[in-house]
Amino acid sequence: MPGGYMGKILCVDLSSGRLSDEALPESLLRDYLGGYGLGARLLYDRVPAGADPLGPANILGFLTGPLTGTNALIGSRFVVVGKSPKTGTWGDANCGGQFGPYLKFAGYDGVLVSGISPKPVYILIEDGKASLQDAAEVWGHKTAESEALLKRKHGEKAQVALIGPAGEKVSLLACVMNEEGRAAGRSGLGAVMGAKRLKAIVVKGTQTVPVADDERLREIRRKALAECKEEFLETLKKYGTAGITADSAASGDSPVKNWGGSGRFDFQPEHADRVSDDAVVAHQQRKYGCYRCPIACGGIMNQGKGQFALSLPHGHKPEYETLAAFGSMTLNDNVEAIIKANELCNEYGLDTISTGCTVSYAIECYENEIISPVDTGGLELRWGNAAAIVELTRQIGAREGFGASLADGIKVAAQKLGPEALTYAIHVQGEEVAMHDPRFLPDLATTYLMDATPGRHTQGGALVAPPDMKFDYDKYDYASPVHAQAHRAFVNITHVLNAAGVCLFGVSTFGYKVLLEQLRAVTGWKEMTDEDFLRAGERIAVIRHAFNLREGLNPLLRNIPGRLVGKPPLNAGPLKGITLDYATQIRAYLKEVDWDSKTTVPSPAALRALGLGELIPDLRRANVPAVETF
Amino acid sequence: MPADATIVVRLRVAPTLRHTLPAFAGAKEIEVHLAQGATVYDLAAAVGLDMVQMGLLCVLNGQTASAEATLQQGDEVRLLHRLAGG
Repeated sequence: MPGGYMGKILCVDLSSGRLSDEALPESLLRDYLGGYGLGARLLYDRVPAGADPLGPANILGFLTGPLTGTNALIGSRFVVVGKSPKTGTWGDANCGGQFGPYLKFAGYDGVLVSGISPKPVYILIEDGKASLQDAAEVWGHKTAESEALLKRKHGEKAQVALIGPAGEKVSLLACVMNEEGRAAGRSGLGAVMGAKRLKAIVVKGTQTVPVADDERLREIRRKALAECKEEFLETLKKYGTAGITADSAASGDSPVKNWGGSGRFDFQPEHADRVSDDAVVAHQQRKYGCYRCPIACGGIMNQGKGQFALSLPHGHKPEYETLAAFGSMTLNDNVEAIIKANELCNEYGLDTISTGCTVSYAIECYENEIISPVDTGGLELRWGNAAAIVELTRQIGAREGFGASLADGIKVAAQKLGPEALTYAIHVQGEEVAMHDPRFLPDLATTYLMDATPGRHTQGGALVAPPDMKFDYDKYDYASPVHAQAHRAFVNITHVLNAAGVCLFGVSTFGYKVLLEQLRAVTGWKEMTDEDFLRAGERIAVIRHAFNLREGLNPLLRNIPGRLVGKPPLNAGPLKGITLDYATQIRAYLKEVDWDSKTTVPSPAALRALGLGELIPDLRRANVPAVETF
Repeated sequence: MPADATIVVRLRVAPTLRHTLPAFAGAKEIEVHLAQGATVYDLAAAVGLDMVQMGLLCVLNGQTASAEATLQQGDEVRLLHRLAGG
């Protein structure tokens, strides 16, 4: 067994109550590394096309990478995977904290959960031994309370991944939480967990992750920490990503006013400053970090007083995505209200990006009289009405009041509200879009529209490009082959990073070469070249994409909200006049990766080059619809 | 304007830089005096920043601009980090 792996995954069938260990062959680990790479391969083989995402045939996976739980920079991540009930596509969600490392210390590289339990349960894993436990005493409780109950029962050193009331009620905005404030947010996988009546996974362990060359790994870590001069590292240390909020509102990166406004005019600097950097950390009592992380970008907030006082004495600092989703998107400059909204999302187990976007959507519908005070139970959903924003968030989490209509996100809500409401419904195939505007960084249009998980910003592209991977092109040169080559390379290295179990910030501050050196030192795969690893990244991109193609899903058929691409263009601000030629950009990318320009099916040659020739008959049978003009 | 005239522009930088750059001493925004014809790159250098090496973006009067953009009296400049997710 190579270093970095515990050598087995736990398979749980909740319908029968059966648990079993499964060893993974080294060839599989070399090809897919871990995380959602391994998850996509395993689920492609085990989840049949057409499976109901909320049914027993869907598998919910919790997977680490080879660097998780080691001294690597920054080996703290795990990924939740499954077929998304929100988008009908492949789904995955990435999370930090302590759970991932402790899953490995408990003896497992991952857990795959199939079936549906007849009653609420949780999985307990203690040093290589797993069992199903009755969850009656924690079902119905919010996440912090549930976690506290489970830790009282199993010890303070236990780590817990769990859902809150939103997941129990199968809200498509539900996420998987751990440590009261870390979230595997996207793809609605908390709803899958709730549909399975699985409340939590509790892990305890004292095992050590084997490392092939620990001395080399420590040397890499020491050198990288000593030599890193990235200014962004200092921002993360001092503020977390809250440090970029005001700058993003000014530059055009942040969407404003449900994607229809401009930072310069609708969320001016004096407003953006109130939900950014020093204004946020003024409410912070202390910093904290994920497992062995030298950055420690997390924060614990003061409980506060007054209208937006936190329920807990240790609520978490909102990150940039949350500050933008509940800030510039809703024109809300009340940082205490955003901190409170963040706590509510954590407590109920809601994805903050999707929830903030859904609230901003509801506000725009209210402002345009598509919904009324009668519909909202008297809530005045106006731009910037902090109290209403916070109360609506609570209602969404509890699935009560007007929040019940919004608890499954914008796409479902818009279908109920009628055709006029569709104008303001900004989502891609059901996923609310992350807080980075493709009109500012056009490469994002390819990521949002083409990645296996639509609307996501962390799946590769120029936004998350490593500082030591450079290409020379104009970001608005849509047809440029160099632009397409860059996107391909950025996607592939990001898949390697995510599959390896490291934090995105570990690569954006220390570079991708450090990541690959760490992988060689941990696994012992010293003969694997950079190209071998990038090929693994491309293989991961293809298997995720193939999961969707086998469902008959062509990403060229995804809805494309006009506001995302500048149709019509804004008439003011840094994004004034910009309309993206995303079609040309995407066609250039499809040519670069050798995927069919009408179906996006990878060519047989491209599949064979990645050792995926066995997918050829599957993808022919899938009958993916062709898009003649895009 | 005479050949030796100066212009005055307002500058904001990324939050951590305002605490580390002596020119800012923690202030959100400062005024910088530059020679006529100065560029954004010159402005950054005047406060101790290498735009290219640090990969900073420029927003000039609310619009993104390159480091070569020439500044005018009264311009408002923001120098920002390249983006990252989160």
